[in-house]
Amino acid sequence: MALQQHVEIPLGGQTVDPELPQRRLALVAEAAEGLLAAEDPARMVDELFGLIQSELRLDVFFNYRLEAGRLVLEAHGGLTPEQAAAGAELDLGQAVCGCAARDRQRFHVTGVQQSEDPLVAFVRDVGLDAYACTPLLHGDRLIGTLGFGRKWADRFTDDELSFLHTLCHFVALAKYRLMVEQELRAGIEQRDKLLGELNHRVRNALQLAVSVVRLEVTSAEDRAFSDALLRAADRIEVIASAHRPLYASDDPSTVAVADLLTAAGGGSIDGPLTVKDGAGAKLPIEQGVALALLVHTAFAEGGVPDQPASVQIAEQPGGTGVTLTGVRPETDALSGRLARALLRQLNGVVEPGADGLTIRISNATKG
Amino acid sequence: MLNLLIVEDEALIAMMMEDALISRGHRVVGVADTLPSALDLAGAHAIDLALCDVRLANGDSGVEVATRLAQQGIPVVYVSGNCPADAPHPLVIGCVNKPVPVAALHATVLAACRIAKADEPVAVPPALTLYR
Repeated sequence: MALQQHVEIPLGGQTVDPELPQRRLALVAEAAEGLLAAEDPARMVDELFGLIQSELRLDVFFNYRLEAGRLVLEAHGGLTPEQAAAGAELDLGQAVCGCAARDRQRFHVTGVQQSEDPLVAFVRDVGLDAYACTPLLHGDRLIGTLGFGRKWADRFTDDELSFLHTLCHFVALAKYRLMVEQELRAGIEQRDKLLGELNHRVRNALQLAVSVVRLEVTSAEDRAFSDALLRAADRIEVIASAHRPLYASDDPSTVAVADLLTAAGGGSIDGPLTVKDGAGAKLPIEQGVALALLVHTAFAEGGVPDQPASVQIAEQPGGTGVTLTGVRPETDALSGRLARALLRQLNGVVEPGADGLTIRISNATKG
Repeated sequence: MLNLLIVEDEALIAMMMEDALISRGHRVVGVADTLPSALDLAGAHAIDLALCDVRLANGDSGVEVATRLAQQGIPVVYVSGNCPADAPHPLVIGCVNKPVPVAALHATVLAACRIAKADEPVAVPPALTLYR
């Protein structure tokens, strides 16, 4: 490939453009702003090249990404499709950028067109005379390389190299940020997948347990035995349903009492259950399940036929009151062994009222 | 009384649902555990509603089953441990989370059928989450 007009750049000497430092500083600031906001690892370098190409009179850039021990061309500019295809992948140690990656060192190759070193054969074939490649590092982690080349001169000045290295450092930071974000997203996705699978398995296992018990009911000849099995199945359903609000909650430590009782009441008692909560009461899930079982037992064994079932939750001095309407006040449904144990767990008491019962839970049990 | 199809690969869960629905006067035309068996049953019987799990035997998808049944005009309610976020077809009415509250199954199938027929507004059982 024919060279364009060739220029020898002196390594030292006075700065001829007094505005150069200010201009470079402005470019660094603009580049940093763009890189910090970048969402795409390839486009960020495209845009950076567009920003500095004119100022540094660059002809070409190569941006390689480290992938499975090889360098893969992620973005490029100033190359023909054939040249890009020829440089699509590099081994570590192959060509200039392969060496920069392997040695984790910056390379500045000068006078490329005069060189017969096979290491620069690729950039020489591209027509470059000066080439600077920088490994993109974050700490000890190699992310890739970023190289810039020019055809019209045989080298970069020290100032230019320093400027490019600074930008490459920003690019490495920006790419590292995108990698970490991607890894975080993948981790969250994997966690959600595992949680979903776990939820599914737990629910399915509980469903199987309920099914097994209910199927036993159909073959039980003894009425008392089948009633006991049905109660057991109902209670397993209540336990399972009471956990349901947790699956949609960001806080696995507590559960809203209203949500819990609504979920547990969704089919576990005959007829709809209305739940009202002016207090926004919450309980640890273990206490919530105990309360749900108590409420279920009260309605299932002490409910008034054909009377709507409702629950009113209210803050009361020293605790929370859960008033059940549609339950016979005189019922002994909550005096059995299981109910007493649950009340003890809740540090609660049952008080009969005009239209039903109130379960008072001491604050000592609240989460 | 409704003619119901149960699409569920867990035999015990399917049996329990079948017993619960039959005890409330419904007719269960069959239990399918794969896409082909569900479509076979749908081709052989008039079905008012299908209750469909999301994960089926042989890796078959309950969403695919629901879509195909709905395309044949059969309303579907998912019964799943992980309810899908949305419905692939307007006739996929809603979802009941497992464990299924057995007492709510009867009300669920009645409500879903009425919703599918665009009848008067119905009381939706708390166990049934609607997609519309």
